[in-house]
Amino acid sequence: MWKLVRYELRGRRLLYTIGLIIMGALTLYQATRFIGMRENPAQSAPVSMGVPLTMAFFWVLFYVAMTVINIVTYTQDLYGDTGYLVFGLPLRGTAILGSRILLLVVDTLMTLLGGMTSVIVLACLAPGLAQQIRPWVGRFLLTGDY
Amino acid sequence: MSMLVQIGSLTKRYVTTTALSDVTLELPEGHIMGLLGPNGSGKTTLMKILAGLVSPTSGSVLVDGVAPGVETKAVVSFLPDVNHLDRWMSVGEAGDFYADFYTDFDRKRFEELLDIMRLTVGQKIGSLSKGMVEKARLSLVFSRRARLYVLDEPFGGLDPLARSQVLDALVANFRTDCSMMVSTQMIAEVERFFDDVVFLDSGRVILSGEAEELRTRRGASIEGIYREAYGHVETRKV
Repeated sequence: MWKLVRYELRGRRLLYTIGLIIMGALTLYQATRFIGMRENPAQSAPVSMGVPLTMAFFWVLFYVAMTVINIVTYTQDLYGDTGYLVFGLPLRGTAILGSRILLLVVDTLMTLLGGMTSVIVLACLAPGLAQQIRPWVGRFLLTGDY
Repeated sequence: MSMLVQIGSLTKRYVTTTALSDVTLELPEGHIMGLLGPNGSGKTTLMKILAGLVSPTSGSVLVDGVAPGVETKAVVSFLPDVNHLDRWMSVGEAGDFYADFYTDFDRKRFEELLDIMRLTVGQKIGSLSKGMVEKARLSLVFSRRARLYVLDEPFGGLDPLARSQVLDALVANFRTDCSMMVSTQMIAEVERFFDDVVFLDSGRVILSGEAEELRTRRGASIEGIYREAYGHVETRKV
């Protein structure tokens, strides 16, 4: 099962690299956007909240794209030509299904770690962001009134 | 002589069609069997069942004494009639894949076959022509020291010269402790290698036996017998 996961990851290395480069570029873009907002005194905190929310939205999109790719790959394995390769292997069906579930776990972890990295990078590049959004996050968490 | 494949009263039904109906045949160890028939006669279904990819509706199938499943997949080397390799793989990565999953994969033999096929490990499957992909797939399948080779239309994308090279390589590498089942429409070129022949039509065995005996009995080549057996099919098409 692990070998199958390894080969799937190998097959997706280009996709992952491109995806993570795009997410990295978006994080940097959001950081510069916030810095621009801070320098403009007319901007208010709700506008600043848009920065992490947009970033979170991009990561959700990333996760959705990866999940769709997982579903398409598994469908191709079931009904397409590559199924001969996967289902011809001397492996039990549970091992093949297990490898797909593991890939989904890898994608989930990658999204969570990537999201956290984005937050850290944003906090480092735009130090005022954390202070600006703290009251809004606090208000949301404490009262649900946002 | 021990039988590597034993099939008894095998029937395979799909929702609306019957692909195989009451098929009974045996393949002895060390023999090459030609599985012949027009399109839709059930050849591919029979091969998929032997490869453990499709379950029979009824009847018995034994490969090396075991019903098709995880155990037999380890000893059956199956070449489907379509490109089953991932496009992102290089020829070398496809070899690594086979070596990782099949304990009978012989890397030295793989390299020798790649030399014969004029392929290199760095070539990407997605960038190869149809004929080159076919050569890569044949190299992978024949690099396994399997007990049973099941080849579905193995020479489709090959030019005549490559076909002859591949056939020579296959015969040179064929061992007496394994067997081979080949389906092909290029009967004239391959029939000299057949020990046994099975003719299928609409999922039924209409003729089977030792190739030499059939030739003598019918006074014709296997291709001639094929034309005679399926003449009604060709006439119907016209």
